[in-house]
This record gives sequence, structure tokens and C-alpha cells, in this order.
Amino acid sequence: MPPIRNSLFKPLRLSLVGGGTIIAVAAFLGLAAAQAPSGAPTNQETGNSASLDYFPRDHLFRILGKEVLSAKGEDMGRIVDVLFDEKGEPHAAVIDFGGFLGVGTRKIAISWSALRFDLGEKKNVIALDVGREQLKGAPEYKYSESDKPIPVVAQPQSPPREAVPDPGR
Amino acid sequence: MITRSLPRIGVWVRPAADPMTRSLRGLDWLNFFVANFQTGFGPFISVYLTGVGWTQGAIGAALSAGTVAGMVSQVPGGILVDAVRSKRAAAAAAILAIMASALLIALWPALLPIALAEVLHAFASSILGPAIAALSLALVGHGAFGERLGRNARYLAIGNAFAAGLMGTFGYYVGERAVFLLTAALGIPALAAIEMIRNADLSSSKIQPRPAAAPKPETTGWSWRFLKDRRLLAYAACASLFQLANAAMLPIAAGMVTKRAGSEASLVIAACIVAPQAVTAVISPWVGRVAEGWGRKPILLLGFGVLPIRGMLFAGIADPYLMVLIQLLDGLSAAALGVLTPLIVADITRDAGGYTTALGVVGLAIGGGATLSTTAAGLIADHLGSGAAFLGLAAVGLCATLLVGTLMPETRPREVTPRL
Repeated sequence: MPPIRNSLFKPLRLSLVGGGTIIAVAAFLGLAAAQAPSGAPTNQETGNSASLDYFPRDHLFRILGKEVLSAKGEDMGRIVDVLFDEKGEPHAAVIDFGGFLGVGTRKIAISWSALRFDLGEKKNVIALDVGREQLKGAPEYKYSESDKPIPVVAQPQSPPREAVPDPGR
Repeated sequence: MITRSLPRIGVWVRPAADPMTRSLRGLDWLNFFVANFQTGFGPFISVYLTGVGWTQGAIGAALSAGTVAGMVSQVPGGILVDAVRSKRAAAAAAILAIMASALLIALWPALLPIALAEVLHAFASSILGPAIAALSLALVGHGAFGERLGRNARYLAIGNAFAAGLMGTFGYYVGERAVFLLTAALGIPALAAIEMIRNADLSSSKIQPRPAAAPKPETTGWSWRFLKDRRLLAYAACASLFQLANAAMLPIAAGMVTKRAGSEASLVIAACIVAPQAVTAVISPWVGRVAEGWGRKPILLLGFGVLPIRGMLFAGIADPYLMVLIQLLDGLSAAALGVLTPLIVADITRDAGGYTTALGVVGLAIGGGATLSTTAAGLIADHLGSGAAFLGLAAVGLCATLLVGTLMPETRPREVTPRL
């Protein structure tokens, strides 16, 4: 459903900025602020610049903190950041993966195309085509490394990639 | 219903026959329930805040507020406990404050309340730890303090392991918010444990050999005299270096477990957290007895000495299950430091007074070491790999051990056990 997808990100961005995240340190917020015209939230005040669209509650959801499950139903962690490309399209989700009580988590960037949002009845979770065993060795995503290339785990498209025997177990 | 509950009441009444035993048992339970306060407010807070949609930057800012407050409050917390007449009231107030901050975190996850809760928790912790140490000393006196601290460390370790298991289960099945409600609820039995400790069993004569040192104008005078004591500065330096080497080890090791173990990584990390607590629980009473028998220094050297070994083993061994075994060494260090820090500070301040103020000074040194540890080791791990980070930590641990060997004198008072 392309129309929904197109209009999805404008309100989402607003909800994120208004969602209690006051300190805009994360890259995502920095990007969002750069994209949005300064003074974007003046819609309601002036009324002449932009029209308002209303969406049913279950059509839009916040993405930060959203749980990600593997196809097998394993808990893969939560989305902590979203990386956009220069066209303003979401390119990767950074998930906080693994750990116990917050100890030993690793941040891993995963290609946006590897995430599945159309889960039918399960509206509150996002599924991932990659399992824990395949994700464990992925390089960690570091926000501060500005000059180094960012490693992004891609969707396993060809069967051989999945069939690679796991050295760990 | 009533008839069934009667025998239960009997169990609770029976210890009252021997009031001192009841007070000591209250101290056991206090240590057990207070452990929950440490577990709930650790790295788990960032899991919870992530779940409610916080950005990583905001989480870092809120946690930094807590870290800074934790450092700033160490010495004032110690001074306050020294100055307050009732250590029970100080401990109870600190527990109430921590309960309030847990509720604040659970019910109002916005930046200002969370930062406030973190600061409140930090200040309350800086009062609670010294208050429990002071209560223990007042309960048993200097002569039996080592053994008592061994028992404290045992119940703290059991409480830590229990809390990790309980909170892991709660977080998984009920939700992360429930963990903080549970933390707040566990403050109630902690308060009940304080209630078990009778004021009559707390004797200030056991602590201060010279009761004349109590008048108010002199308060600031005596509470700072220990700063001229080289032994305290030496111990603060050693303990700071210890934490500089120690604090980052578990987080980096746990990150490697996540990288290598796959689907069972969370269980392995849970084992890395709980298994050393079991070791601490088992050996702490022995550590307390031996510290009175052999003296403080041999145990101190043992606790410090396993740290560089642990670092080198982590650097060389990749198997996640062997890493759990290496983590067992942490239990030995934790038992030694957990018993000896309050014991050595009590030795040093025995004549001059200002016990909990001196504890606060050492606490500040430990907090500084721990904060620097995760930052520095994290940087090394990012640029040179986790193996290099572990070797760096091991080197610092070796320096700490050498410092203990050269700088730290035996602090056990000679008159307690005369040399044969």
C-alpha cells in the first residue's frame, strides 16, 4: 500500500520529536531536524501552510524502542535508532541486540529491507529475516565513528548465505 | 485461615527471645533486600528507557546525571551518616528515597523525572551503604567486625543473585516497568529488616573509644583528621586502581559472549553475573574470619592478585562457557573488596573517628575508577579490539596489586590479636 507508506514518515517524525526526547543527540533526530523546515510544527497555529491528515491509531506507530523478533519468534532486541540515506529514505535500523538486564548488549545496524512490518494480526512487533545465530558475529554499529564505513547487515537473499554452517555451534 | 497463620507468627516471634540475634538477623535481611536496589538501577535502566522510546543520547544524559551525582554525593553522604545520631533512621530514609526513585522511573519516564530519580537514587545510595556499615559496626563492635562484614557480603551476594534472577524473569514475562515497581516493593521488607534491629543493641561505646569527641563544634575537626592518614590515601588509591581495572571487564566480556554465543548468549551472560555472586556468598564469611586471623593484607593481595589473571584469561580465551568459569574469579575479588573496604577504613578511623566520612572518600575513589574504566576500556576495545582492552585492564590490575604490596601497610590493630 504505497500511499500509506509515503505519508507514513511525516507524522512519525513529528511524533518522535514530540515523544519526550528532549535532547537531540542521536543521529536520527539530527537528521529529522535537518529535513524538517525550521518551524515545521506550526501547522495548527497558522492553518494556511499545510493540511492535516488524520490516521487511525493502528496505522502508525513509534519505531524507537519497538521490539524486533526473528522469524522463529526469538527476541532480537529493540530498535534504538534509524539510519537514513541522502534521499531521506530509511536505510537501516539499529537494534540493541542480546544481553541480560542490559549487560552485554551490542548495537547492530540491519538493512531496512530485512525488516518485515506486515505481520497481519501482530501489529506491535517487527519481524526480521535474520536469526540470532546469524546476527551474533555481525560488527557493532558505532555512532561516533564518522569516517569509517557503517556495517549494515543485509537481508539474506540467496540460500547459500543461510546454509553456511555456523562455526560457533 | 487464622489458625494456619498462627505458627507463622510464632516463627517471627521466636527470635525476639534473644534480642541481639534478632538484630543481627535483621541486618542479614537488610543486606539481602538492599541488593535489589543495586541490580534494578544498573544497566537495566537503559533497556527500560529504550523500551519506552527514548533516544540513546537522552538515555546517556540521564545515566550520566546519575553517575555524576553518585560521585558528588559519596563524601557528603558519609559526612551525613557520621553526623546523624540514628544510623537506622538514615538507612530508612535512604531506602524510602530509593523506593520513591524506583516509582518515579516506573510511572513517569520523561527526561526530568528520570534524571531526578537517578540523582535521588545516587544520593540515597551514598547514604545507605555507609549507614549499613555504621549499623554493623555499632551492632558488633570492632572486635567482631571482620566476621560481621563477611556475613554482610554473603547476604548482599545472595540478594544480588536473587535480584538478577527475579528481575530477569519479571522483565521477560511481565515487562520492564514491572521491574521498577518490584524494586520499589522490595523496599518494604528492607524497612521491616531495619525495624528488626533494636536501638538498644546499637552501642556507640563499641565504636568510639573516646565519647568526648562528640560535641558539635568539633565535628568538622575530627571528621577530616583521617585525611592526613597515609594509609587511607593509599587504600583509596589501590581501590580506585582496582575498579579502573575491574569495572569494564564484565561488560566487555558480556559483549563478547553476545558476539559468540548466539541464541543462548543471554543465559550465559546471566551466568556470568550470578555465578560470581555464588562464590562471594560461599567464601565471604571465611574472608571475614581470615582477615581477623592472618590480617588484612594477605586477603587484599589475593583479591587484587586474581584481577590481572582474570584479565589475561579473558584476553586469551574465546569460549563463552569458559568465560563463565573465569568470571568465578570475580567472586573472589568481590568478596575480598566487599569485606575489606569497610574493615580497613574502620581500622584506620578507629581512633580519630569519622568512619563513614572516610568510607565516602574511598567510595569517591572507587566510583572515579569505575567510571574511567568503562570509558577507557571501551575506547581501547573500539580501536584495538577487546583482547587489547583486557590486557590493558590486566596491566592496571597488576599495578594495583603491586601498589597494595608496596604502599599498603597492615591495618589490623595489634592489641586485638597480639603477635606470638
